[in-house]
Amino acid sequence: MGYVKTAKRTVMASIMLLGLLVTQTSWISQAACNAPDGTAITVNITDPAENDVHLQGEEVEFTSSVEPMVGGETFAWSVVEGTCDPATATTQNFQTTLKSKGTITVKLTLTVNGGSCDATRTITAVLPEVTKLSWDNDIDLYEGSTGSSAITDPVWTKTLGGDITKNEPGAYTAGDDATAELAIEGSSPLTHSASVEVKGAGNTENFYPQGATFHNWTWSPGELELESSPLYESVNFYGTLDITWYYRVQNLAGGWGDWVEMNQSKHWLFTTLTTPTSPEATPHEVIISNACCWAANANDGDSVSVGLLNNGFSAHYTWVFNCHRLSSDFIRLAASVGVSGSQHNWASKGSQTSGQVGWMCYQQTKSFTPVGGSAGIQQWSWHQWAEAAGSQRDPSAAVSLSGAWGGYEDNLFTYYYQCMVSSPFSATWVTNHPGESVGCEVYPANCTYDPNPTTYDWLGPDR
Amino acid sequence: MRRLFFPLVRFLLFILCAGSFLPMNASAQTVEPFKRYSKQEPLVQRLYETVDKPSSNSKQVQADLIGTWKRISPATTNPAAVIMLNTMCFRLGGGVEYAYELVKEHRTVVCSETYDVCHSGSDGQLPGKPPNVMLKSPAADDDTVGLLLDVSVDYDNRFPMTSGKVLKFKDMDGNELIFIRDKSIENLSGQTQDEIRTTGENAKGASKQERLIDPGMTKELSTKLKETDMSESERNEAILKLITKGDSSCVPVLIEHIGTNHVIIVRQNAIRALGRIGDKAAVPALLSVLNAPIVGNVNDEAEDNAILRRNAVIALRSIGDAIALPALKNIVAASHEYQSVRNLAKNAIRNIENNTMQR
Repeated sequence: MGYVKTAKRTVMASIMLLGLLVTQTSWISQAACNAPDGTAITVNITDPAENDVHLQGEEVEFTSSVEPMVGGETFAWSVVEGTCDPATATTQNFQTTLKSKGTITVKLTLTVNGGSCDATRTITAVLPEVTKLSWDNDIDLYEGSTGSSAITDPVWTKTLGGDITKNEPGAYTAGDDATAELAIEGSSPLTHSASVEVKGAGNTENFYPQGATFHNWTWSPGELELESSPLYESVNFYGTLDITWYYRVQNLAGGWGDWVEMNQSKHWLFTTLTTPTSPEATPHEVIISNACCWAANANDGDSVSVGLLNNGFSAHYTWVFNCHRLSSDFIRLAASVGVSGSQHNWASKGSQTSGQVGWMCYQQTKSFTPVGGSAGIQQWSWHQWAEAAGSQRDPSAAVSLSGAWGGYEDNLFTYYYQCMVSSPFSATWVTNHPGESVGCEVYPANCTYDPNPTTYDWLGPDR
Repeated sequence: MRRLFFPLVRFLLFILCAGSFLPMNASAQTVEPFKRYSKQEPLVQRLYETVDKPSSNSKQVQADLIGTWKRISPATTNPAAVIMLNTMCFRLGGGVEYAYELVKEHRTVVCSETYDVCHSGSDGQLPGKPPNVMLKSPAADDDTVGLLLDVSVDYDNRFPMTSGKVLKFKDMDGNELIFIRDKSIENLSGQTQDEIRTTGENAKGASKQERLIDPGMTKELSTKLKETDMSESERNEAILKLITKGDSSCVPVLIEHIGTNHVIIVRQNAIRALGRIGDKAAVPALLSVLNAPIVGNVNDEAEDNAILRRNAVIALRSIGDAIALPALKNIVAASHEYQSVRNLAKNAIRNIENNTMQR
């Protein structure tokens, strides 16, 4: 029994040693065959080097050397881990394209003089991802609805192989093309730089191919910029602009490999009528977002204004004696998409000096329907509204009336209340005088007109 | 006398608060910024008495209350720490609605309950001395008043000196709410809010698109690019640096790199660098790129030729020289052209023409 045990141990040890030898042979990518005269023949895979890093989609040439060459050698290449196209070859060198990411192991079997020997080579194929995107030549935006905290580049980021960590909107003027500045990263730096083309295929717009060099995944500003197809020709928004990013690698003999999909990115992108103007020369994201939504498809100042009133103020605002805030919001909305506006404020004088007799104490409107409310006659001591694109725009009632502000005053008000200093409780209603070129009754004697009333912070809804 | 007075106070000041877009059903709040007192309180009774004396100054007080007021004192009033009034608008002939901000909850509440503002009896008062004013809630129990106030209209602008008129509301517990005219806030700094914003915009605008021109580096790279033993890869790396740091002095060497003796990536980036530098001296070279015949398939936007032509158009757009307009217009009109190049040319024409008109 003792002899049997010893024999078993010897056999097991031999198997283990043999296994180790085989493994060692694989590691050094060479094996020995014999020539007819008994000379040992060695086969090596000389290029690429072990553990080289290449791109998925890159064409790689595996080269071999046989020493000595005796004639009659046959070569059999195969891919033992990963995916390559082609997967086999019978030439001394093997050109193939790396079709999968991760480990790629290629084996060469040399057959000569009735014997065969192997060599293997393991490399890594990297599939990079777009990890940062900035818009270039775009319109600067501020975060939120107030303040001056700029949206900074990059506007979109993700971790490699992980989640999106930042996604901020961008804006261009209508009909412009967007310029996407990209940073692309891979899990390992490439052993050799690779000439590539990068493109983006979008759900609505494409980003035209541009040349680049992939190497160590550090990108200097402006190094890789892709231009998009023309954006909307009107005020509008992309919410979202989905882009699938691709690259392709230059082949060894020139020409290009197939496009390889990297990853997707999704963006908010707004298109304005023209360059935004004050007070939203740098639009706040909430304001431009609402403006582009409510005035979508508008292609002139009037249609922008009407869109804002009909789709914005009618649907999202409530008038509660806050005409000044609504007017201010209208100005901001219009300005954010490049439509300049102004405001008008018509008020009773509100002075404490003597001589109030005959002054307008407050006004009475015709019956109108305020936004968020029901029709009726209103009495107030002042009213504020906006003007844009040649018409009066009153967000409090979501109405437009072409012409100067005096015309709108005539249209809106029917009476004013004339103060009596001797008896403040017996003031009298006076019929509004239509057609006065300056609008106010006996202006400026009994009322005040402010052509430049305050613009307030944003009041409207979030985006 | 008192009974005679109450019908009269109906004409008095009405307060409106602006500042919220919460639907009205969101306004069902029990928290109020105004404190209620019983009418049986001796001080309340006394103030009802004094309010009963209309004065010649009444209209003056009314006029002073008209407008938009903004609270400047956080005050120690009320459920105070959590309540901050936004903006109050005082008006003639109506009720009061008010908004206040629940600071801790980061939301604004609109209360639809209205108040009447009653005042009188300020005859003979010295400037700065308070006329008697109370804020009465018609909807409240008859035995309470919504807020009993001591309102001071600061006629002589004593507080704060630069703010203009001030309204000071004081309740019986001595808590104060101080309001100043809304516009006065802007005047404090001598700048309007928009002016302040504009300053900020300019500051940011200057930093955007900034090219950090480095004359020393430009000279060194330009010299290096003239060397014949430089690899195309090294040339590309040098040109990429010139995209952000180059100046007009490197235009000639960049033009040399547009030529067909260089690989596509070098040619592409040389064109881009010329566009970024923006020197009109590059225009003829860029036009020569566009004038070259298109030998490829115009439906293949990934062709080298398409890439070069796109970049040449973008560079011409950046330089903005009107001399490029005829060539760009030819591109738009051409039938044998890449669609992307045509699109970009259309855009470039618009940009160049707009910029030319603005000058």
